[in-house]
This record gives sequence, structure tokens and C-alpha cells, in this order.
Amino acid sequence: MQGLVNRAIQCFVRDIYGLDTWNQVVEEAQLGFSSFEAMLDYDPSVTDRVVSAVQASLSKPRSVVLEDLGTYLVSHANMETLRRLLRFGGSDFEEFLLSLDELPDKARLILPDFVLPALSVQALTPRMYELVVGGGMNGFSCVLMGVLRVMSDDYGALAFFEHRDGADGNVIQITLADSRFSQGRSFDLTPAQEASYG
Amino acid sequence: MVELRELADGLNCLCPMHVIVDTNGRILHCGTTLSKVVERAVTGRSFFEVFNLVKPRLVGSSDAFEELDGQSIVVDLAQEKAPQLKGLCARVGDIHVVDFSFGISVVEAVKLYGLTASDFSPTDQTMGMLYLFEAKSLALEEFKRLSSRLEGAKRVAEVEAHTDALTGLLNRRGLENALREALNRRDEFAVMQLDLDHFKAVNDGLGHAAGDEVLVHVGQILQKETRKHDLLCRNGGDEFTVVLTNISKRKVAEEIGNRIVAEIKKPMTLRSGSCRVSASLGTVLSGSRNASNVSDLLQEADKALYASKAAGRGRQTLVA
Repeated sequence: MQGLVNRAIQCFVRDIYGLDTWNQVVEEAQLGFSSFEAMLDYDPSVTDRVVSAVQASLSKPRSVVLEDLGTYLVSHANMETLRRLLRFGGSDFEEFLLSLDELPDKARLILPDFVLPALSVQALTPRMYELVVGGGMNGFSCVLMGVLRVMSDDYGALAFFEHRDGADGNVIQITLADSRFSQGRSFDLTPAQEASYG
Repeated sequence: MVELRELADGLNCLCPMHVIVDTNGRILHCGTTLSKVVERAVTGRSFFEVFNLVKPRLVGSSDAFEELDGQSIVVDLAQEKAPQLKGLCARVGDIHVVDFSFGISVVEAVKLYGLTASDFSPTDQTMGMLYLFEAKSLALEEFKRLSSRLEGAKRVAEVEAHTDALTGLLNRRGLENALREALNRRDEFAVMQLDLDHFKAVNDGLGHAAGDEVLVHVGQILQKETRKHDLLCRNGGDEFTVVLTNISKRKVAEEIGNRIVAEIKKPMTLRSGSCRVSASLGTVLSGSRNASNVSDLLQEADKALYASKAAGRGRQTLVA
């Protein structure tokens, strides 16, 4: 389900930087078409080309582009549906963190072809967590950094994140300074209205 | 022996949709989540007053709970729009515990009672059901949008595949399809082959852009001089085919053909100046011949066209 990933990148560029920038990316990546279909499959090399083209258009390092993408995915109004789905992970940020192990299975439950890298979360101390991100999707841990930063705000928690390369893949270390730092954003179990996406 | 209070606290934690009933069928305690559902104080009231038993039908022993013990039940609430609840009864010492769930109506119930994650035990699958329901709805919506986009694209592609891009008339393939349909109706019709005279001179002298303008103009003349249900086709180059459908009178076909010849003969104003062309026409009436003779008819029309060319161009030859 590479289409979902490509479509997410397209929406990110379009909603944050505008259609002109997206058209530049289309040209630079030599796509031959102007829009991705979320529910169709594409060769993974296409995603690589698109990310490289975005990087070139924005003149930003790859890791920054990907983290911004992660931020966008859970904070932009057009992506509200994704934030909602993630909020089902737990009633507070700690519970959410510990539920990340299940994320790839949850994704597969909805779209059997959608394979996310394996995620493994361990509590090192009561305030410190380590998230090991498996391989299979280049730069996924950078995207996850952006997602986690926003989700901690969403839950009203104050947390710090550190990204490093570990022995078994990329590792994100999370220090939870205060789980009730602010009000956070509200979350009803049933959506308020018909949500739209992409 | 466990105190009622301790039992209630424990059950609130494990299964917050429970109710504890004494041997007389009086409610002793109502779980935290179930309290939000019944929306009123029910302690001390009769279980069957609050919960209308839908299934199973009681045979009527002195102690109703004796019969329900270990059984799954379905109950109705007195409130309007309240979904039915599924329950399971169990005897614990000298009291009865009934645990409820929303069953398949969980999505409506959560909305109706404004429930949150903390209203359900982590072992309860409700949160998973809600996640699944929402995510599946989104995926389905996305698939629906995809198929409607593909449907639109398919229709555009079909039209394009049957249309000549320059003139907007049918192309050869479009004509063949349309002809087949027209012929299936067994109407009499006329086939007209049209060739522009000395068109090469326009292309060579004024350029291909001017040549294209002439072709578009001829397409417009054909549209103006024929009827709505006639088929107009550009075969390629300067060759056109017109099928006049539902026509049995030689005179009508002849008049339409002559008007086309006359209109094309008039000077045309192009962007790069003006020019004059003419057209040769060969027309054949189908008479009683049917679909199996289409290629014969086209050949006959071609012959008539050559006759027009041989006779000095700029005219129509009609074969009945």
C-alpha cells in the first residue's frame, strides 16, 4: 500500500507549501502523472524519488523534511482522521506510547497490504522510554519523531525526544517530563461529523 | 465472606457494566458505566422494572434469577432510542451478578451516552471495535472515491478513443461502433464518402496550421448541414464519412450532399488569410441492405466518390 505513503507526502507538500511546489516535485521526480491514489500500489522507488525531489525543492535535509511530514500528518486539519485513529491507542500519552507496538498490526487490520516497520517500546525507567523502529521503510523513524512530538502535545504531556541509530535499527528515546503538563486536545470516541481526508 | 462494597469496587474495575441483584430481584449496586446508561438512580429498584427482559422468555418459577443463572440475556431499556443490551447472569453466593455489553450497537451507544475510553476495561474489545469501525469507514470512503474517479477517467478515455481530436467528430473506430448500433435498428440509411479536392495544396502553400483550420471548418459545415442523429466521422487526412440515419428518400440525401458541397466551396477565412477548397462526394443509399453489407456499402460509396473526382471534382455522385 505504497499509495497511502505517497499520497500522504503529496498532501503534505500541497497543504503546507502549495500546489506550485508540488508541481515542481512532480516534474523533478519525473512521475509522469500529477496525483497519487492512496489505495493503489506503487513501486517503493517512486517514494524515494518523490522524497528526494521534495528535499531538493525545499532545500532542507531529508530528516527535517520527514519530521515535518510527521508533524503535518497528525496536526493539519486535513489529517484529523489520522490523529483520531492514533488517539484510540490510549487515554494518556504513556498508554499511547506503550500501545505503539500494536500499530503495525492495527494498520494491517484495516489494509492488509499496508506493512509498517516493526515497533517495540520499553519503559527503561518510570519516566524514560525507548522505541526501537525496525527496518523496511526508509526514514520512518524521522516521520515518527514528528508524529510523537505532536501526539505528546495532543495528550497534554511534556516530553523530550532523542533520535539515534541503535544496534537493531533506529532508536527514539522519550523522556516524559510531565504527563499532565497541559489540557491537550479533546478526543471523543465517535467523530463529531463526517470526516474528510486528503 | 466478601463485603458487598468490596465486591462492587472489584467489579467496577473489571466489568463496569455490571449490576448486583439480591435474591428478591432488588438492585443492590449498579456499575459505573452502566449507571451512565440507565441515566437514573436504580439502587433499591426491581431489576425487571429497569431492564425489560426480551430474551429468553421466562417460564415463571418463583425466583426468576434461578432460571437465568448462567444464561445470556437480551434486555430493553425504558429510555427512547436506547439500544438493547446483551447480558450474562451468574450467581455469586446469595446474590446475582449480571454483566452487560452493547454487542454490535456499540458505536451508537458510545455516541448516545457520551462514553470515553475510561468507561471500558482494557480487556473489553470496545475500543478496538470503535477503532476498527472508524478506520474501516475511512478506507471504504477512500475506495469509493477512487472508484468514482476511475469511472470518470474511463468515460473520458472511451470518448477520446472514439473521437477525432482535431475536429471533435468520430474517428474511424467511433464510426464503426456507431454504425453497428445504427444498423442494428434496421433503419434505411445513406453512406457518404467525402474527400477534399487539392487539400495538399493548402497544406503546402499555407502550412499545416492552415490545413488544420480547413479541416475544422469542414467539420463544422458537416455538423451544420446534417441532422442531430447523423454520424459524422473524420477517417484521417482530408477524408470524411457521413452516415445519414433513418433515410429512405433519395431526394433528402441528395439535397444534404449538395448543400455540403456548396458550403465547402465558399471561401473560408483563416487566421493567415483566406482560401478556397472544394469537396467530392460519393453517396450510396442502403435500401434494403443490412449490417452485413457495411463494407460493401462503403466500397460502393468510394466508387461513387471516384466518379465525382473523375467528373471534375466539387460535386456529388449518388447511387441508389
